[in-house]
Order: sequence, then structure tokens, then C-alpha cells
Amino acid sequence: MPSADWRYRAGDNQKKGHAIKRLIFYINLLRAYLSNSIKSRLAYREDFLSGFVAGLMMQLIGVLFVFSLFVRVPHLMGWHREEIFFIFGFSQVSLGLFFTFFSNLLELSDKYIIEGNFDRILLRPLDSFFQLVTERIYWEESSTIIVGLSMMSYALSRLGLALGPAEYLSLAGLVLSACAIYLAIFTILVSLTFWFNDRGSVVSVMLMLEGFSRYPVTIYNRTVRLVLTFIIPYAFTAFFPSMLILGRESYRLYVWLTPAVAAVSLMAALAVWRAGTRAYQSTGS
Amino acid sequence: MPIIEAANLAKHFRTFRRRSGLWGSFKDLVNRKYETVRAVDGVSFAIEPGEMVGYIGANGAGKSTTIKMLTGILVPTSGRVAVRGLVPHRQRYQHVKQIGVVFGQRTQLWWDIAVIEALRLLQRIYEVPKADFEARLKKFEEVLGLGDLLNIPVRKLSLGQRMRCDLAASLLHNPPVLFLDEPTIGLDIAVKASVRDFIREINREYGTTVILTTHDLSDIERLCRRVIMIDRGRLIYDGELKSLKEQAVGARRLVVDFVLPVDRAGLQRALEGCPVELEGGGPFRWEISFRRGQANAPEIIGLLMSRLEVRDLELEEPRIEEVVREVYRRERAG
Repeated sequence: MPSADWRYRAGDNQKKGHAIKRLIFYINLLRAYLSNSIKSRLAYREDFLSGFVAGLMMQLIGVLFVFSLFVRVPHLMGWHREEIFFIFGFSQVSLGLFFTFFSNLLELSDKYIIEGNFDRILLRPLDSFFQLVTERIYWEESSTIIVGLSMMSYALSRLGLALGPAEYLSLAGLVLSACAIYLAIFTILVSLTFWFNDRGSVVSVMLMLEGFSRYPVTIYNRTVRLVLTFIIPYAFTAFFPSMLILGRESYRLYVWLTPAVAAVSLMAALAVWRAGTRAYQSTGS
Repeated sequence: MPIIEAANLAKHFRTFRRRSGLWGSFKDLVNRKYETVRAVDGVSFAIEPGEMVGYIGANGAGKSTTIKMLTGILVPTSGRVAVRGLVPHRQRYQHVKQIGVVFGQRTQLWWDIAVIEALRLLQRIYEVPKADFEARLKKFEEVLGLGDLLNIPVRKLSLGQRMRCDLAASLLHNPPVLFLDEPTIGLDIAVKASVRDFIREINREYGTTVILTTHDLSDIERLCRRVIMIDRGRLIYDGELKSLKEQAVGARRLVVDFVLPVDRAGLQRALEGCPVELEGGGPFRWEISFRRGQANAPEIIGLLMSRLEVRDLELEEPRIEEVVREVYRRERAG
């Protein structure tokens, strides 16, 4: 018994040596999860369709609102109407990706901690974050991605910009980085529920604040701008990366800061998550 | 060498008492009065490989908290815990691979996919070789009657069906230790019996160590030789179920049917010298209860048969519920 605490430490180190094998294991598992998720979605086609159509309508109303707003405003503080549409579309694509693949994260408080489902997650020999995220994929949220993509391509054609393969590839990388930033922000916020019995109020405030990311940050005052850049990096989820295409020289640096911000914030988020799972106090029986 | 060891294991939760009313809520914001709840308060036991142990206690006694520490869900406040030499919360991955867990109230399976798909996913997660998987699946199909259930989505299963699938799922990787938390809750008698038979068979065939918590003490009677009893976070009994029953001075009861009506006085006269209590109103049926050590069944039966005309009689052992209640009562009084 006294030796039990450290006897198996050697085994832990051995595991690190198999990092690549482990990665392949997770990728294979992810494929199995995805195929199951698609199968179960197909089983509930009607649910999927109604969710998808409802989401699409909501998005279209939002877009219609923005369009009608700008009918008489071809320019806003130095920004072309179409440029704003592009930024707006970019933010919708990265947000849509986040909602489609990571929405389950937002269920942590109610469905996992309060209902006690987190116990089950801790009983499987898998990373807890991986399990939570993959347990449900919200395919119907993909409507947001589609609307965002349409807005981006409409803006591009109106602006008369033709992109080459390299630009498309970079754009895809930036969209993924932006999605990772959303993921990091919301991971940190939901992790707080491990310590506090918050039922998602912070999360909903943050979801509302997300509206700021849809417009050029230069239209806001200095304080808001600083907050959106350095504290809650929403500016990196659409505005800065869009500058790759909208090409304002002064933002070149910020464009390529986007993946770095994504990487750093994601690492910080996972550290907070780990600390949170250690602080987890399961509910009573 | 024990397979599960707990030494001075404790889990304290810090909660704060909410004050009532609006003003109370304001006060809570500024100044919280914390108090420590000792859910598990210094529990020690050792379980040998292949044992089936019943872990019992009232609601809030600390059963679930103990199980959660043994399974690695909760980090103990103090004390040691080891399962096959692993510390559950520190070596979570390795530890959960060597245990199976079934919670009666909650499924471990994915809600939306068919049972067989869920089992296949678990096969991947636990890296069970294909041949082993097929062999075990076949066995579970036979013993638990899973055959027709495999293609049904988990959410459409009845409670009994789901429990059988959960049992199969928890044993796919053939864990040496199985934790069952209320495995028969809400099940009908037939399913209960098949679940118990299955657990017994797994224990016999694979030498699986089983820790069982339950409200239904008949589960314990059917499955466990040994019980550990906990109350208010402390261990109050650890030993054989049989000696617990003998130790408890719980009443045994003899139910007798007479051919002719017998009144209380007549019966008392017949049993002159035996310290018994008479219950039930007669006149044809009487319940005679007596305590171990003060009177014995053969003597009473002998007296009745020789002095009255008995049609039928039945000896009831003390029910385990009564035994448990008695142990609690003694513990709280002392």
C-alpha cells in the first residue's frame, strides 16, 4: 500500500512515448464518432431538417437586417458596404463551425455537471474534453456556415476580387483559427462551472458580445477596440483575418497573428479545463 | 494481497448554508458561512480478489461518495485509496481500464445510437481485440438475452433492457473489478433475477471482484457473503453477512396455523416457560416471535405440536432490513 502512489508512475511516462500512437487512436475514434453522429442524425431526419431550416431562417433575417441597414449607407467610417458584408460573413462561418462541432461544450453546466453526466465521462479511458465535444455534433447549426459562405462570396464578387488557390487555402486556415478562438473563449467560460454553480449566464453574455466581431473594430471607440483585441480576442475571429483579402497594409501583422492568438488561447483554455476537471465535485447520488 | 484498499479515506465537502429571504441572499453574497460536510470520514477496508461485497448504508451515508473515490471520479480529501495498486484519481486512464461501472439510474451508453454501435465504440475505446469482443458479445447475448436488443437505439430501451445492455457494456473489456451502484433499481422481479444470476456467473467464471451498493437488500442476500456498512461517513460494520444476522438480536418469527381456534391465554399456557411474544389476532393463525438465545425454534415447535393441533407452520428468519435497522439503532444510541 505505501508504495502504491508512485509505483505506477513509470507507466505514465511510457504513455507519453506513445503520443503518436495515441493521436492515431483518437483520429480513428473521431471517425467512428462522426459516422455514428451522421447515422443518428439521419435517423431523425425531420429533426435535423426543421432545426436546419429554422436556423437558416434566423440567419437570413439577420442578414436581411444588415442588408437593409446598408441600402442607403454605401460607406461606414471608411469601410465599403461589401467589405463589411465580407467581415460579417467571415464571422458567421467561423461561429457556425464552432456551433456545429463544439456546441455540446455549452451543455456542460446543465447536462453534465448538474445532471451528473460528467461522472460517466470520467469513467472512460479518454480525454474528457474530447468526449464532451464529440458526444453530440449539431449538424443543423451548419446553416450558419452556409449563410456566412454565401455572404463572403457575394461580397467578393461585388468587390470584383478573384482569389487564387493560395488565398483560398490561407483563408481556410484563418477561418479555422478564428473558430479555435471561439472554442478557447467558450472553453474557459464553461470551465468556470467546475468551480461556481453558474448556470451559463456568463456564456450568454459572451454570446451576445459576439455581435461586436461582425463589424470592423475601427468603428468602435478605443476602449472597446482594446478589449476586443487583447482581452476577449473577438477582433481576431473575423475582422483581422479578413484583412488578408480586404488588404489594408496596416493590418498585415494582425492577419498572421490570428493563428498565434488561436494557439495561445487554446492552450490556455485547455489548461483551465484541466484545472477545472480536477476541481470537479460530483453531485450527490 | 487485497485488490482494493482504502485507508482512512475521507471526503469533505465545503458547502455554505444559504440564508433565507432576500436579505439573506444579500448577506450570502458578502459573507458566506461555510460548513464542512464529512461525507466520508475516515473509512478503511480491504477487499480480496474475487470477493463480492455489499456496501450498504442509508441515503446520504456516504456510499456513493466512497464509490466515486474508488472509481476515480472524486479526489479524496485525505487518506489513501488503491485499486490493484493504482491510485484512481491520479492514474485515471489506467485505472478506468481495469474497472467496470454500472449506475442503475444512468446509462453509460450513448443515447442516440443502437446498442451494437455503442458496444463497438466501447470496443475501440477499451482496445478490446476483435476475437475477445465477439466471444464476450456472444456470451452476453446468451446469458443476458441481448439478441433482439442489439439493433435498437439506447433511448428506446426499457429500463430492464437498458440495464442488461449496461451490464454487458461494463464488462466488455473483462475488468477485474466491477462496481455496481443500485443495479436492480426499478427492475421487475424476473429481470432482477437474471441480472443477479449474471453477476454471480461473471464472478464465478472470471473471478471478477464485485462491489455492490443497493437499497434492495435482497440483492445483497443473493450475491454477497460480506457486507460493509457505513453510516454518516463512518464504517459501522465490516464482516460476514451471516454473522451480522446472528449478531443482531433481531426477532425470528414463527407463523403457525391451527386446526382449531386458539385464544391468547390458551397459547400462552401451551408455551409456558418460553419467553415469546404473540402477535396477530388469531384465532386460527398466530405469529410467535422470539429472540435468538432466549428461546429456540425446535423447543417452541415441540411444545406446540404436543399440546395443540397444528396445521402448518413457517419459520421466518430476521429480514435483513430489520437487521440493518437494528445495527443502525445500536450505533446511533452508542
